[in-house]
Amino acid sequence: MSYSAHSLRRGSLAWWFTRLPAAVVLAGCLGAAIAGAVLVEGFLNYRRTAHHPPSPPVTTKPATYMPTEGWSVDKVSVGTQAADFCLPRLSDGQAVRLSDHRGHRPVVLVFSSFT
Amino acid sequence: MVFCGQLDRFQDLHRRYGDHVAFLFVYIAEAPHPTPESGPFSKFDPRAPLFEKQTAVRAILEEVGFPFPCLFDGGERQVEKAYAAWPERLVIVGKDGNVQFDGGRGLEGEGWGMDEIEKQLLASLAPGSLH
Repeated sequence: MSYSAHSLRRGSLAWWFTRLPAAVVLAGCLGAAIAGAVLVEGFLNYRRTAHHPPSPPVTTKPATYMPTEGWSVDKVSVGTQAADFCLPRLSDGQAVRLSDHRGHRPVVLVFSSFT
Repeated sequence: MVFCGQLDRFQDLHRRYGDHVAFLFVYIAEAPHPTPESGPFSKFDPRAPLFEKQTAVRAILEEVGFPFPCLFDGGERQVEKAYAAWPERLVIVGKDGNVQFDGGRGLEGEGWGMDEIEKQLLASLAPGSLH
């Protein structure tokens, strides 16, 4: 006497037993897909960080304000040519050159900031 | 800052001599407050892009009705280096382009001596040029 899946009562233990191979195959496929996704993500993450090391964590500690490097003088030498410069004017962005005033007007230079 | 505390005196000088003397305010890097408890380190986040800082400074200048041109020394701070200007300095450049007076950093005492600055301004002007 032979039994086929069609002849078994649906939902019985024997009926579930005939479905077991298909369930195993399905679970295997699902596991392989998940493992593949994890591997791909790991590989992509490695590619991203291999050439671009992660940035140092952002700290809330403010930068240390120190006199800029390269200072060679602590005072400005009276009688010498004033160092020329060209800087943007904040109101309109137009460049202003110190030497443009030479021969025309004295200049009061105030260096400061709003702290 | 010394300059902010003496702004009204500078405005007065500018009103009286602005037709004959150029006044230039160069905005440089901010200095810290004397102690961490006395206030925030700076009004500006040092990590903020320069244009954001420029915008904020421009807004303050408009708010206080700043009387003379403000130049911005950002990026490499080359001008600040050339004049050893941090955190503040006052210099008078004569008509010939030479440094006529170094007012220093104004950190000692009550700040810059405005009488001395006016005296230097008068000396830098040719006799009769104010008339």
